[in-house]
Amino acid sequence: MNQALLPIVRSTLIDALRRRDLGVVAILMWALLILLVAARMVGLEQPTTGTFLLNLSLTLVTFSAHMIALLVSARQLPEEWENRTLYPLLARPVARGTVVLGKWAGATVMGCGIFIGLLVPVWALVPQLEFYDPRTLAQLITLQPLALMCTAAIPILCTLYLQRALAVSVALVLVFGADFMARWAERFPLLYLLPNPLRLNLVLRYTDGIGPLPAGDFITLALAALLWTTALLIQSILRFERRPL
Amino acid sequence: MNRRRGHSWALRCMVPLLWAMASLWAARIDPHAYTGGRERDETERIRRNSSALAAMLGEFRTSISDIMFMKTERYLHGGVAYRPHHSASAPTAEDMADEVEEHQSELGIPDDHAHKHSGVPTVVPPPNRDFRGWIGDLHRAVRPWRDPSRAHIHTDGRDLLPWFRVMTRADPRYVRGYVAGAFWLAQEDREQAIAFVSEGLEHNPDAFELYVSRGIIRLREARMAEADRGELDPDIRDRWMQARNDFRRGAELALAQRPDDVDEEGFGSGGWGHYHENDALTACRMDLLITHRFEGPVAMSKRRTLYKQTFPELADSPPND
Repeated sequence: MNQALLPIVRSTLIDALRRRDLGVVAILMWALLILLVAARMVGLEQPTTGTFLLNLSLTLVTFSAHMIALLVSARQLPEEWENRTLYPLLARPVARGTVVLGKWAGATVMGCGIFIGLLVPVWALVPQLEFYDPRTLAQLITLQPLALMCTAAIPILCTLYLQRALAVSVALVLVFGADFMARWAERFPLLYLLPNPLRLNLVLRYTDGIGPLPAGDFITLALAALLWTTALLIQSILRFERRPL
Repeated sequence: MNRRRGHSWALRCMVPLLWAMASLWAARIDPHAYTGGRERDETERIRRNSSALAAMLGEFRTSISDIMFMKTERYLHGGVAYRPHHSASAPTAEDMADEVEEHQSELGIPDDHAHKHSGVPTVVPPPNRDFRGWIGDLHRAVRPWRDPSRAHIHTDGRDLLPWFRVMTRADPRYVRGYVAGAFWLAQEDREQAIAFVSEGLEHNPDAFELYVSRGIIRLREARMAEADRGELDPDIRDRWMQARNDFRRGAELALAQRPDDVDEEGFGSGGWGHYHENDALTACRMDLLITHRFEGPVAMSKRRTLYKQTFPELADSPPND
């Protein structure tokens, strides 16, 4: 399985690197980095402005990582079908589950790469004039890959049930609208069942200068993300195995 | 084959189980459920938004809420764009309560509202001040415009309730959206207005303006109930006490947040404006008045001693027996 998995992950990454959406993110992030360098050179006097910049930058980094993971993941299986490249792939001794896992892992790695690759320069460039708890940062960095795993799994399942455009829309709503919908959960309890990878986003907590989550809450959130991802992947594999080619 | 099918069924059963476990666990935890924090601090927020960088970039959520607020204000003036005519950047809860009387006048109850609100300059200037000539005439003809020497027309803001809802959904920290929305909602349904402000307080537990706003709504409810029944039964007394508690909590928060260097016009460091000052005073005054009525002058006097250290003008409010 490992022998087949790694080439699929690699091909997913190569495919993602060729796409325009990565270019858009790169332009956006270059603009942000130039702004940060300029702010650094001019010098920020107010600590609140530094916090504002840090919050804005980290929010953009997180958003970009989730967006790329979602788009890369949503493209994988539909394009394989449309281009008919899935048939030669499955003609080899590769299990269908491995294909799903490989595609998902590729999208996750891409999202994590964007996250870490942008987090480091942003964190280094933003002048930190107020106290930010490093333990919260550690939790933030630990939880984000788990959130990205979940984000990458959602569109894979959606594309197995829905048409591509609709699947992307549903995945976007589920990933970026989950926090918004959760506000109505008291009135409509079924909304509690929606996955909410952005619940693992601790950017605001970090820039607000608040300490880390209690250990129990941190572990619970991490486990919830793992369980959501596992459930989504199991359902995706089962669906893909039964789906006629 | 059967073994494989059984395996598949086991996995199928596992999916909803894992899903439910994850969702229920995660629902219990909100990483943003903490008190304090820089983003929620109104003073910090004003300071942050006054920086050049924030002005250039804007905070997306804040911008959305601000644009919506401007739109609602324009609608309230019958589509006419007036220049900002409050020296404060946000209406006070007290101002909003005063507006009840203003809007009653539009329903046929006479007062001098029209005189109070005339002479405010419009964004599109009047002909005698417009250097653009016929272009200015055209501008006034195609845009909603009203001679600024005449009184404002105020439309009924109840139509705007969905906007206030969206405004506060877009930015749950937008305190003035809650204050203004609750004011209009209270014209329709006070219970919902109280729920709306309470929601605002969940997101902004330190916003004393919201306590003042809720206190005013509860006070009005208590007054009307008392007038309707003609006596002070325990239920009505309970409503008065709820209003008193809101004013008291608002006063405590306001005194804790008020800077020491507030000038005569009510402006102080850290973005403290006269609207903060007015709401702080309202909270203290109303707490004293209700305490005086229900707990007597001695209890009131104790509170007044506390408040008059900050607000010496409260020394004679309410008058001693």
